[in-house]
Amino acid sequence: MQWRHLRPGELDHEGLWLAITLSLFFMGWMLIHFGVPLPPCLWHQMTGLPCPGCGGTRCARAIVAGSLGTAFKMNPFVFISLAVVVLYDIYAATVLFFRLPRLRFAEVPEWLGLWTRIGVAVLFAANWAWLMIARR
Amino acid sequence: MNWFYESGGSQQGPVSEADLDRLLAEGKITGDTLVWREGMAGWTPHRVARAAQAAAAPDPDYEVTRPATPIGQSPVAATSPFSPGTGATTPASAAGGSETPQPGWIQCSYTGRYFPPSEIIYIEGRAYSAAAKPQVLAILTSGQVLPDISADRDGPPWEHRERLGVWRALVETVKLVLLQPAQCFASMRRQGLVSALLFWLLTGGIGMVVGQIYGLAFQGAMLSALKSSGAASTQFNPMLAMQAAFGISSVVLVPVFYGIILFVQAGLTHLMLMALKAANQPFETTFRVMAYGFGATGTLHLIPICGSMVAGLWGLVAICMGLGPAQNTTTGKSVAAVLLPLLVCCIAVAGVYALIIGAVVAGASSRGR
Repeated sequence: MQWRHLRPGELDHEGLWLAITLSLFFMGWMLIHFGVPLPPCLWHQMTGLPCPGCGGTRCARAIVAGSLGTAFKMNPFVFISLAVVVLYDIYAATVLFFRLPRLRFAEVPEWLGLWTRIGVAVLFAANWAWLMIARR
Repeated sequence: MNWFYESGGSQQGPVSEADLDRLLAEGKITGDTLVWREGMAGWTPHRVARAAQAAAAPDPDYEVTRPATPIGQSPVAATSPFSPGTGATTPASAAGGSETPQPGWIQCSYTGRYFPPSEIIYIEGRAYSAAAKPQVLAILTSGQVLPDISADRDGPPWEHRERLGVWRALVETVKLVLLQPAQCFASMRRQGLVSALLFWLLTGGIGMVVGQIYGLAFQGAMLSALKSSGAASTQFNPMLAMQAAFGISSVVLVPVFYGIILFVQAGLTHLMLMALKAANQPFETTFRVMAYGFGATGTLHLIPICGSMVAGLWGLVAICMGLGPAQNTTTGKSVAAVLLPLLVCCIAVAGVYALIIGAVVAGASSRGR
């Protein structure tokens, strides 16, 4: 792990992901603010069971309304993902605004990459199981 | 011989010389990083250690493939098999590369020769071979600009479908765009609408047709479920028949419709690039980035339920990553050029929706009085 400035021509990940996530947040906020109806979940309509993303919109609505506890209960995985994105955006905005060195990971050990992937997959599956039990 | 290097105040390694080069290329170490290996008196800055090593023992690979151009200039024009005046060909070998393209091999941006992927590293989105190591290292450590191969861009693999075969070229291009968009567009040929459009039709176009079929199948399943539960009439319904006819015709028309949208979106993006003074290449280049980007990510439509959403999102990301190297502009400007038209459209749609809702509410309240 090291902090360094971007090299000429190197992809600016912080700028890219900050712009994309902020745009998505803005579009999401507009959908919620204007009450635009969203299409129903195809998976839920076909099987009667919640999909892994079910409750995501209600989670976002609850966050906008300021009730974080309710938001977490609606879909914990979406809530945690949004929190991670917000933290990353804060970091990205800070390094961009103050022109600070960027965080770049040197050699990531193979075991760490593997366990990270397994961890995310387990979280994802556990979240889905919880949604199915909670909405049964 | 293995090297040790300093990182974050602690000793790292041992790593092979090739790994040390890769770390330097990836920016994980710099010319100032302290390195040491057996036989050295003490820890020395990397640039000093490697310069001393190069002076003591020139790399034999370098001697074989060394281009007759000074550091800082691109030797590609002199050695590229696509350039006029190419000399006699030499047999292909993994270490020495090949003057002629080989299936799956990648062109070195410094020597212009083709090498297997195991002999290639990417620096700033460009491919360099192990054979060009001494020159590239010297350029990196001296802080000079690496050779620009923009004049000889010949990717992605789809552009070589005659040689690779259509299926292989298609699959390799889709993989490259999905997994390494920045590298893919950094080596993309900048001219030719037809080839990119054909790729989009065969990938994104077909993906969208399949997505449309999924939608129709879902509607059919819903309808039969409603009928079996008695919630819907089993008699002939002209509205449903019309809807079904529209759905079937839309399967045929969807590639045409989205093809037109692709041109319009590329045009809007290019206009934005021009407004931002970032359109350093013609419209063709912008169109090619969008056709390859949305084409490759369009294959994700084949995943039912969530495929369309993932395709849309990753398509945007790939294009944001690709426009920068393709147009020779910054990431910020390419992101702005892609996202601003979308945001404007989003605001316009939300505004129209709000007006309609407002009109409906006003109409209802006036009738109530």
